[in-house]
Amino acid sequence: MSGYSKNRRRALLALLTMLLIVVAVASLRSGVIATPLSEVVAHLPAAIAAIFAPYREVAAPGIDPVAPIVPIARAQLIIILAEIRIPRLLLGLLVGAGLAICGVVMQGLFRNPMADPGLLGVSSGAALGAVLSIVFGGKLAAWWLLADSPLFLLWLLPAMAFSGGLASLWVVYRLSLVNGKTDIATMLLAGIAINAILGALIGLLSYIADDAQLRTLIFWSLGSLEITDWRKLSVALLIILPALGWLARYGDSLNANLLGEREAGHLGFDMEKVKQQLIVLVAVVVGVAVCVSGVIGFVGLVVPHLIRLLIGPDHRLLLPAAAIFGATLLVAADMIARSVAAPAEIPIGLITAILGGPFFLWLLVRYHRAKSRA
Amino acid sequence: MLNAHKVSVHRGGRALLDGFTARFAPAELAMVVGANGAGKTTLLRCLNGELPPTHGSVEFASRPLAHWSRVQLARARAVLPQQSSLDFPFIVGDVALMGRMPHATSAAENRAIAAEALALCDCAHLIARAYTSLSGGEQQRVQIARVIAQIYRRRAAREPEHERFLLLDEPVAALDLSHQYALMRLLKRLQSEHKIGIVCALHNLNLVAQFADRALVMQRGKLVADGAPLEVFTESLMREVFNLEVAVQRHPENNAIPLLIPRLTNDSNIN
Repeated sequence: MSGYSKNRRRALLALLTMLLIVVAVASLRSGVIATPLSEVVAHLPAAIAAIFAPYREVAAPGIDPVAPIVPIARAQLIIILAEIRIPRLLLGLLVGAGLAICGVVMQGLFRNPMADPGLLGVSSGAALGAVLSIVFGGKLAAWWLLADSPLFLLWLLPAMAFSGGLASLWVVYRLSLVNGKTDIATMLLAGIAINAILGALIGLLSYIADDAQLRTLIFWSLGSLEITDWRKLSVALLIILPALGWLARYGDSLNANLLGEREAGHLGFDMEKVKQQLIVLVAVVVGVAVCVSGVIGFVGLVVPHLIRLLIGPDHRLLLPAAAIFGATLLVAADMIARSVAAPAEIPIGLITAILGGPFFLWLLVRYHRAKSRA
Repeated sequence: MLNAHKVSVHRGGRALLDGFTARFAPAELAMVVGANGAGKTTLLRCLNGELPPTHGSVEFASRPLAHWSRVQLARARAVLPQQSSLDFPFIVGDVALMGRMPHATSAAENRAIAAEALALCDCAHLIARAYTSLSGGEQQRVQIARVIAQIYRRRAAREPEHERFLLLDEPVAALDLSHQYALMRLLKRLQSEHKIGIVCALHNLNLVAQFADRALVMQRGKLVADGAPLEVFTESLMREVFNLEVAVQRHPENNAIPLLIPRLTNDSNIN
């Protein structure tokens, strides 16, 4: 009688996972030099070994640690896989899964299928932090006599983006506290207001930025999965992966929350605690995602919707399924971003917006039709 | 035993509930009546633990509500609020299953209980439908099935009895007449066969007269009458509490059931 039997759940998850693997392998193949599948498979173990090789950090580009065993072309492919394609794939998987699962959580928490991680001001708060560091980072470094420290500038942006996201979320959360309880409607409105204010500030900063800064700023605010730093990626992995696993455990409480907050309380859930935990987890995941890949819109909105259309609103299934599909979608979007104007690269945020925007409008129309029929 | 002792709730200098004292026994069908704003919903929210009273205390099974763990409480008493906000297309069977969330019973047992609860509410045929595709009355019946499933026990799997309570706020508002009576008969059955204590706010006084063991009449936050409907529903009390002129007669088939008939003349001075 229950909507989806265990077997059907497993089958759906298995299907989505298979799709993910296909897209992931395709993404390892595609690039400036397209690689045949057999070569990708043949060199994957060596590439993975190269990632974990202790001397990778010191090996200068061109000097190949495995050179004695393999010819030059093969060595090149191993380096491309280890230093470019695999990190890029991992970043896409991580950010896609993170944004999608956060979308599911926000929609469940707000009991509103139109909610999105951007709603709480996390994305724009993180964006403001990043823009601040792009525009004023150089001056700040000069002030603190750190001008010759590239590490400072490297870490300033992520740190500022993360704290910006957390700070704006904290403001929205505090504003929405009514008699010690978070009021969802107030939170939504506060999020809209904070987003508008932050958007204006970002606009002001881009107005005073110089040309070089503006280029970085635009590229960053449109999102990109370009990553060259394994350290940055490892930090993102270490933060986002556990947070994803943690978020996936809230299926029951989010289901109960859809009945209403009081109803969930009467079913034995401490919804005040659940809300606080979920909000912090979403801030962490979205903040870190914005840090490493810029602002990538619509994934958090569109993926939960598509999956809900396919399998229904049960969060126990929706959370893992959306994470898998979000990862798939973002990796696929990245392949488009890399190949449409190759060898140049289109910002991935543009791809997701161009595809996601019309889809969102279609959803909106559909939602209103369903509402007026009810 | 659900025990409210001198419970008061003050909001903005006004007393929504004023020194309410009553004990509700398990296996008792108690109904709360009163005009709009008399404090029925506030009372139910105090009894279910949502609203900590400004003064006074509420005890369930001789323990203050605040000393109960949420899950333990959820296993022993279910609450149906006035309105439901569920707006996602869950399968009806899954909505009823949500009532089993606080329990550690097996999945098969939970499904059996959810199916029985749906059948009790005349929803067995809706089990595979999407909740959002149902009419308002059907949705209400599914919600009632959900709260029944929360405290329901199948005869086969009977454990030592604990007290169980069902708190309902205006459960019949969206139901057609035949389902209103069906629900009342169901409540009666849950009370007499399953020994579930029920506290239910209701507007339809003739339903109360026919089914309640006990009617509690509220006015401006105070309990003004408490007893069997036949003793409580008098012409003078109806005038005093509802500002309504009624003739109190007896049910033609059962002399113990009062029947309230609004008078044709001078029926109200609302204006």
